Formats: sequence, structure tokens, C-alpha cells
Amino acid sequence: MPDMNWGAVLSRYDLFLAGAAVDIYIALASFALTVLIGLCLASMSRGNGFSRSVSYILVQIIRGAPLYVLLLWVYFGVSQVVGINIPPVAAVIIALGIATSGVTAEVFRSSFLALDKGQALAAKSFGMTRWQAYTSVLFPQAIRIALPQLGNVFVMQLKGATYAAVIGVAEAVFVAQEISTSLFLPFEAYGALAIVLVLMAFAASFAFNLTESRLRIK
Amino acid sequence: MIDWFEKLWATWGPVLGSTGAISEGIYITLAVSFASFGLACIGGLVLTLMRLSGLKWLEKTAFTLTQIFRSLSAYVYVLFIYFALPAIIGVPIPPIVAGIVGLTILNSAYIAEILRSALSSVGSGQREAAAVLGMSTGRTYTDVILPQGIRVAIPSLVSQLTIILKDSSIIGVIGVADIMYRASHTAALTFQYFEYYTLVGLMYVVVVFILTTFSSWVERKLRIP
Repeated sequence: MPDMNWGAVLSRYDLFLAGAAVDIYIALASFALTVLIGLCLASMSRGNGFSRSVSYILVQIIRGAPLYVLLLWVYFGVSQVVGINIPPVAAVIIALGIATSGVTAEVFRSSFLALDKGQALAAKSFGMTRWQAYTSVLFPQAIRIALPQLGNVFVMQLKGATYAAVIGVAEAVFVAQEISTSLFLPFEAYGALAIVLVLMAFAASFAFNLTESRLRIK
Repeated sequence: MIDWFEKLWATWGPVLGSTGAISEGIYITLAVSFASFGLACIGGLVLTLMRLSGLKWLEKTAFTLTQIFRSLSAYVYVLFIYFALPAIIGVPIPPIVAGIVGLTILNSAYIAEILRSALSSVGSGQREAAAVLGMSTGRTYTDVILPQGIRVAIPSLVSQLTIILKDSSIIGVIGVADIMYRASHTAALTFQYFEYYTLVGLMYVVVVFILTTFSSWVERKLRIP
């Protein structure tokens, strides 16, 4: 077992914290995006035949495309075709938001299906519009059913945010790479990285469990 | 119109022409994915049996391992195994092995969860019936519980296989020449990023679509009437 030098890595904990903050920021932003796209796809799959088939094809394509490919596609490909420079962080958020939206759409679709049919009918008999029925009757119940699964999606976003290092975003993996190459302490650098990421994922699941128990209808 | 078409062909013609060269990497992509899937099934089964063993400390260990394994991304695993582990064990790890091991560890956790829920879907009556017939624990598992549990698990296992296939695209970062690596290499040479990444993305979509179609066919075939 060679000598280890954890002190040199631990003294740079501020860099890891800054990197982890970038990861959390990317995860939160792309989570908002995936929820938005997922809700759109899920409501499309409840519409008429045309929008159903469009949503089906989109979900199949999104589920088949790897995050890494999507990321490079957005960052190098789309920016080339559109002719604008997409900032790396924005590219990650867009790619990650698209990549998990297939899963999110499934989550929302199944939670809306799990609702009792009577809820929609009751809302209608109260004279609510479709929009009112969605925002004040169906959605608040569906989100409670969806929450545990959405927690998994959020952990997926946290994990996916680490891919940002590929295009040079200074998040936790990037920090570890820098420290590993500049101090030549690969094991300590990546070990510290793994601990930070595992703790982040645990904290995220804990937060979602807490939200779930807070929102539960008694 | 003709003009437009010629322009389109000038951009996409060479891209489509190099499809063959890129798709040679599909063997590596598939080999890595299937190897990791096979090994992860074994690892997942071990974790599941630990979870169902009835020994408190073994169950706790398996649970903690599952939670830790699934909270890192494939990218972090690949970097850790390829760059960090050799510094400790002193021997370099070939990139393709690093990729397979990383994907195996990550997916053992997911497959353990899939198998656990599938095995617990087998009714307790089956277990009791096997006990009444005097079967040993080993035979109960191999002859009664696993054959029924695997049927339930197959759709989720195949969807996990497609996730492994997609995650395997990251092994290009340590220089394994899979389809993604070849596509980015060619894209960087020709400066046609959009075209090549679209092409390789569609290749993944097609393979994943074939796998999911195959899975629903197998599911129909294996269903207990």
C-alpha cells in the first residue's frame, strides 16, 4: 500500500464544495426542465391520436439517446447548426433535462392514471374548466403519487450533472481531475469526490422523503 | 429544389458513407454492455440473496452497498477505476476492463432492486409448498422461486440493459473505441459535429428500440398462461 496524502486533498475542500454547488445548481435547473418536458409529454399522451403518436415517438427517441451523446450533440452539434455559442452550463442543463424527460413523462403518466376517475368527473360537475380541474384537483394529487419516483429522477440529475466535466464545467468531477493531475494524487482526489457525491445523493433522497411525508394527505 | 438537395447531400453524404466505419465500434459497445449486464446480474443476485438471507448484519451491509453503488454515475466509476485504482494496486487497468467493472458495480445495485422486487412477488405459498415437499433451500430457489421470479423481472432487466448500453457510451473518454468514440473522432476531423452526433445518437436509438421490442416479445412468450 503506497503512502497516502489525504491532507493535501482535504485542505482543498473549498474547491470540492464549490464544485458540488455547481452540480446541485445544474441538477435543480435540469430537474425543473425535465418536469416541464415530462408534464408536456404526459399530457400529450392523454390527448388525441395525433398528439399521442407524436409523444410516443419523442419518448422512444429520448429514451434511446444516451446522456453523453445528447450532451455533445447539444454543445457541439446544435450550437454549430443554430450558429450561436451555447454556454457549457446551459448545454448540460438542456441535455440533462431532455435525457431524463422520457422517464419523467412515464412517472407523470402513470400517476395521472392512478387517480380515481371520479376526481375528474367531480371537478367537471362542479363546473370547473379543464385547466382548473388540472391545477386544483388532479395535479396536487398526482404530484403526491409521483414524488417518490421524482426523487429517483432528481438523483439521476445529480449523477448526470457530473458529465458536465466532459465539456469543461468546473463542477466536482472537474475539480477532482484538476487536483488529481496537479498534485498527482489520483486515489485521494477521486476518493474524496466519490464521498462528496454519495453524500449529495443521500441528502437528496432524504430531502425527498421528508417532502413526501410532509405532503402526505392525513 | 435540386440545389437544396445537392447541398444536403454534400453535408450528409460523407456522413452516411462513414456509417460503416463508425458502426464497427458497435461490437465493442455491445460486448461491453452485455459483459457488464451479465456480471451485474451475478452481482445483483448476490446482493439480493444477501438482502433476503434473514441475517440482520448481512441485510444491512447489502442495503448500504446498494445505496452507495447507485449514487455515483458511470462517468465517475470509469474515472475512479481507470485513474485512481491503479495508483493503489500498482498495476495499470486496461480501459475496456475499467469500463466493464464500473458499469458492473453501478448496475449490480439496480439489478439487485429489480430482482428483489421480482422474487418477493412470488407468493409465500410457493415457498411453503416447497418446504412441505421437503426441498432444500437451494433447490427451492433454483427450481421454484427463481424460474417464477425471473419471468417477472425480465422486462425491467431488459430496460436496465438498455440503460447500460446508453451508459457505455462514456467509456470513450478513456479511449475505448466504441461507436461514440469513433463518431466524435470523425466529427473532430471533419468538423461536422451535428451530423455525426445525430448519426450516432440514432444508432443508439435503433439498438435500444430493437431491444425493447425483443423484450416485449420475450415477455409474451414467457408469460405463464
